[in-house]
Amino acid sequence: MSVTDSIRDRVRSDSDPNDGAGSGLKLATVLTYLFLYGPILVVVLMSFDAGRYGLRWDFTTEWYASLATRSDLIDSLWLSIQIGIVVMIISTVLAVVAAFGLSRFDWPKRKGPIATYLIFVPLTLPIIIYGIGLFVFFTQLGIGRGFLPIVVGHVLYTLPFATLVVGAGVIDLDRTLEEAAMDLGADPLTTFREVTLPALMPNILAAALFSFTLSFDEFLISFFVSGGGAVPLPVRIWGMVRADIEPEVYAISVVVLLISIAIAAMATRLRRF
Amino acid sequence: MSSQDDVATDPVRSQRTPETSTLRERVLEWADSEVFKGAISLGPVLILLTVFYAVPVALLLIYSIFVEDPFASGLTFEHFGRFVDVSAITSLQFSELSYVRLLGRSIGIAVIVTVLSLVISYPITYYLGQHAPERWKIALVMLVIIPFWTSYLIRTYAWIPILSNNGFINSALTTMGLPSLPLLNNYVGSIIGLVYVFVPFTILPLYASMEGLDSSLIEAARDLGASRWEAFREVVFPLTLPGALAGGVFVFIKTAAAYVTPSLLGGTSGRMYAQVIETQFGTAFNWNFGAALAVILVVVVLGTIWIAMRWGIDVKGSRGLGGGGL
Repeated sequence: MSVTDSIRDRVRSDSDPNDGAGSGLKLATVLTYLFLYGPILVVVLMSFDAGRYGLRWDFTTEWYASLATRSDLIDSLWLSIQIGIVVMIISTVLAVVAAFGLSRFDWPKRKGPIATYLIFVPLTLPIIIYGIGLFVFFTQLGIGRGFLPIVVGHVLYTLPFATLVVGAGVIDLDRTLEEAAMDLGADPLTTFREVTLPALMPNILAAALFSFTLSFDEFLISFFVSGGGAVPLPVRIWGMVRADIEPEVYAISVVVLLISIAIAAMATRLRRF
Repeated sequence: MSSQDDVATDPVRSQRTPETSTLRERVLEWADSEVFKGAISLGPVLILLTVFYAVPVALLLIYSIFVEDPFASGLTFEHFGRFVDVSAITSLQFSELSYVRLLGRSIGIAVIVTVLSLVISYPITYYLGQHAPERWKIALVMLVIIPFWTSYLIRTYAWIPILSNNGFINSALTTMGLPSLPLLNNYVGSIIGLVYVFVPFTILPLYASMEGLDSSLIEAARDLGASRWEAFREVVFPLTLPGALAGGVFVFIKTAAAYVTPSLLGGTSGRMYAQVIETQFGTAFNWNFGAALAVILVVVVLGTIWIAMRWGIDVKGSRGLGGGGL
């Protein structure tokens, strides 16, 4: 801030004390944060509540204790983590390759924009349409529901996000570094391994974390293509909520929220936009 | 993508390659060409997108125009006819048009949710973009993004203990001696849940516009005697409208196709179009009719994007912020 700026600010604030953020604006902002976090807080509160609903609240940890006996929930949690890891690996590798393809090459005529559109179509069409389409597709192939269709669905679902995150890094990348390495005699592969990849690492890690958490929390695709013993946690939670909320659902939800909030916080810190 | 055809038909390349060059040189040059590199880097992804995205979605289109099993039964428009139901229109029995009405209601709810999301987004983004202390800004924006990346299923059902008849709001109302409000299992529940899930989609692009807004413009308006509201209406609002519209279009297309939120919070009066599509596959086992309903939804979504783009709305601007699923 320059001297004139600060003087002007002081003059302004002297002459017009109302010109800061109005208290109404601050109140609205606080209320919006309350709106965003209130329901999350409710889930946490309910997970420690012995009763159900209402304003009475009796502290208990019994729902967390009984989670240990719910082998169905633990199996689903484990399955969701496994799917998340497989999806993360496939999606991140594909995203790195696609990000370079999208931003590095001079495409003849209009092929570049078309490729971009193709990759981002999955972001615009309703997920329910894709879930149903995938269900029909795998049924027609005779594969039916299970682990493989879920992984395929989640890879296609996470890929556009991962590509965007890696792509932002590729565009920002200082190409002179690579040129310098090449001038010093490094072959393209060495340059990629020693220069390009390390420079892109924050974005690649962020893309990996985002892919994991998107897959871990994904419900709608899994809803249509899961089954045959492979029921990811969100589908299990859906069943528990639809039937009649079982109190353990809040405890397992807190576990899920902690995992995804931790991963999202890490990824957001890594991302350079 | 067939890279070979591209190379063969590329006049520049065939000119550049002298006739005397060896096969090895030609292969090397071809491997170094932009087209080849592009095909190698985008090829796998595009093949994957075609096989596992385009084909499954196209399958629904195919199902929608066959009587029963595709290619084993005759072509028909009866499934679309069941949606429109011409006989109900000609006999003016519009109440019989249950699917059209359901789609209409979904679009109506989507409009309400979009408007509410924008109304909620303006104050917080104006504060974050123009007034928030610089050192808190990043943390405050991150606080908006984080819920966005957590399970929308959990964040949606969290409203059940808040909105139900014996939930937090109604318990508080009854202890204060006020009548309880029907907030759950009706369209109010659907709208509250949808605004909650989708409001970050309008907050983030609008924040980007607010952040880029030159604050001296607002100061100038205020110095020239504009009230706070006039400065907002004449300066802030027009300049941030592109960001708002980009987010709004995204919220609209996502809400029009919502399934999870109305299923959990909407009851009968909050029932939405996507639920009736699921029914055809889940319980009614009428895939062909379900596929026709799905195709209609896709047309609505793509039509909205097309109109928005014709109006010059930067739809792409809102997409990158994705996440949250649905």
